[in-house]
Amino acid sequence: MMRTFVPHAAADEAPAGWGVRRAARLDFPGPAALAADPVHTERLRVYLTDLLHPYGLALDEAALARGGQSYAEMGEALIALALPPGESVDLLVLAYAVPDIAPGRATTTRLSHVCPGAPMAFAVTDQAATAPFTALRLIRAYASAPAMSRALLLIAEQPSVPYDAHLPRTLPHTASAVAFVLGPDSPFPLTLPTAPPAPGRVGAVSPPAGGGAGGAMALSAPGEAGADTVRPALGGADAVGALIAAAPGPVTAILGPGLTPAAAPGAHRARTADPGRPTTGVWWELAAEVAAMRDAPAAAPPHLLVADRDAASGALSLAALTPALEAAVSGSQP
Amino acid sequence: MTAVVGVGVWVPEGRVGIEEVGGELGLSGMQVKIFRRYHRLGEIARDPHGGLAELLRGALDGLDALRGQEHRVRYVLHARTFPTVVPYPHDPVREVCDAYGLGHAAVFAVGHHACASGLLALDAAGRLLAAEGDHDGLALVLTGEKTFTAEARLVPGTSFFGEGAAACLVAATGERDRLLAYASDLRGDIDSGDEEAALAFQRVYADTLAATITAAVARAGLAMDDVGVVLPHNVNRVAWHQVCRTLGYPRERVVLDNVAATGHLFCADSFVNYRTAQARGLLRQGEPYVMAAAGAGSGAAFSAMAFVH
Repeated sequence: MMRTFVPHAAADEAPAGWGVRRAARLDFPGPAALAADPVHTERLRVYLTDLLHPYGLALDEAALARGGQSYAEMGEALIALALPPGESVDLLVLAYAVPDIAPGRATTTRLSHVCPGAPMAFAVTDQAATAPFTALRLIRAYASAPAMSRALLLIAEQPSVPYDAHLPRTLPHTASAVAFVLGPDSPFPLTLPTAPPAPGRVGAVSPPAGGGAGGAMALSAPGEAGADTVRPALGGADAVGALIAAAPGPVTAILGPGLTPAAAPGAHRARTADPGRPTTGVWWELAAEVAAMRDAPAAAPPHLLVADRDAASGALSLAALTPALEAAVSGSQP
Repeated sequence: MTAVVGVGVWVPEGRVGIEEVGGELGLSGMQVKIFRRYHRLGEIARDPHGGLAELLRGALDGLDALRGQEHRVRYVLHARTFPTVVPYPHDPVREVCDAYGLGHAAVFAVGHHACASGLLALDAAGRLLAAEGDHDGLALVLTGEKTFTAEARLVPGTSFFGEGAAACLVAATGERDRLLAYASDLRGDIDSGDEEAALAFQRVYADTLAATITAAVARAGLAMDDVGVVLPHNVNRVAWHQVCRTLGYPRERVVLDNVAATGHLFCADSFVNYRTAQARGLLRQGEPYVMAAAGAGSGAAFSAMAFVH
């Protein structure tokens, strides 16, 4: 489907009440159907062998034989779960950190073909746990364009990486994916808070190796991401605390695996993501919060603050949601 | 309105004849002859010693507009033809950014539009800056990949990939090269790397790319007659001649200079051809031009952008 765009104009804004409309999540404990295809496996073997060769690394044949997951298959299952009949989206963005078993495939192009609405689609990656937050920023940016306000965010991870790259890495315990349907007039508007740049960082062009001033905050906002700028022990607690204090009601903080409740001072409640879900963890928990609100509506539901930190860079990312959702579903892929 | 602030490119000096590349890939002598005589392909650019980081460094070294402006760069987007180009979790793009004073920026990859991902990244970069209301901020779009495996060396029946890179500095507003419109047609029905998918891509290529260019130009409020020059992706001359016939556009105004000299430089072609057009004086003040790209393999995408210089 042909889609055309003109650049963002000064007056363009995401539609009123733009935010989360629905959430879905799934575990995929078994390998993908694609993994059983010997032609694909041989193609993958060649691709990975050649990928590893310049780095002096070798393929783990036993790990390759165990298979792994395909984000295309996972995405298709989530699309079916998140979008009821008759509903479609204009944009689909896939965020992931760990590559899947189809490293050369334009997976989102395939997903665009099977997703209602034949959406514009692309992927955001190579940013660890920050990638889903960047995807949300992009989706919000596109939401101000005509006929682009309805979007589907897919966040996926899978544990099969059949080689040792001799670098620290945290792989998930299982394959899982979370979907968020976003759109206008949402009962759950979404914001992506930013914070002032870390002291002394603005204008710096040669960041010191190994980090900067202790206690400074590092958010994933543009110009403020602290990849090699700040690696505080309690990154961003002041910023998170300020956001919680500014909320008009109680706040439930959903914290990434590397954060403790101390990272969210003043939160009414803190929910920490499973370390076995390094990329999807906070979003998995957010989807559960959404489901809980659906099942047991409260008179004054809490605001939700999602915070996750990229373990490698120390960058802290935030997303804030106001309460009341249309629906949520969850399940497990057989 | 999204604007290009500057473009730096780097194509390594190393060249390999398509006969040698064809031999690596197990192509027959007749297949290689067709590439040379019919598709007018000749040599492929390769850097036998450097990796992805060295390619990107070359492009950044050529990006004069970045000097002294590093602190304004909020985002660095590596636009990929192939989603995975290094072993996970190696991150040469981040390492290059650190070395060039861009360690403060949000660095990530965008893609899944095959060789049209560079245009996607350009649109996304400008949109991110504008949506944040950051009129002082800049974004950097990096393109370029290594021909590390057979899939990344050959576009079946169409072209050979070469090694080169581009760095494109983008602002939310500006006067130099303003983006007017972007069109994209995703063809997820062409979703495998097999011969059947390659044939399907070739069948729809000329008509779909021409329609995409027409859509971008029309969305910009222009007609093809207004377009001074087209900056293509370097697949082959014959394919572009077909597109020109479909468009009714003079093939002489498509910058095909690099097709026989470098091969298809993944997502970097349009930017490399921008610099070629600039050097030849083909970009005239106030005149619209078009960047166009398409890619296939496992997922096909056709994209075009209309600019005014």
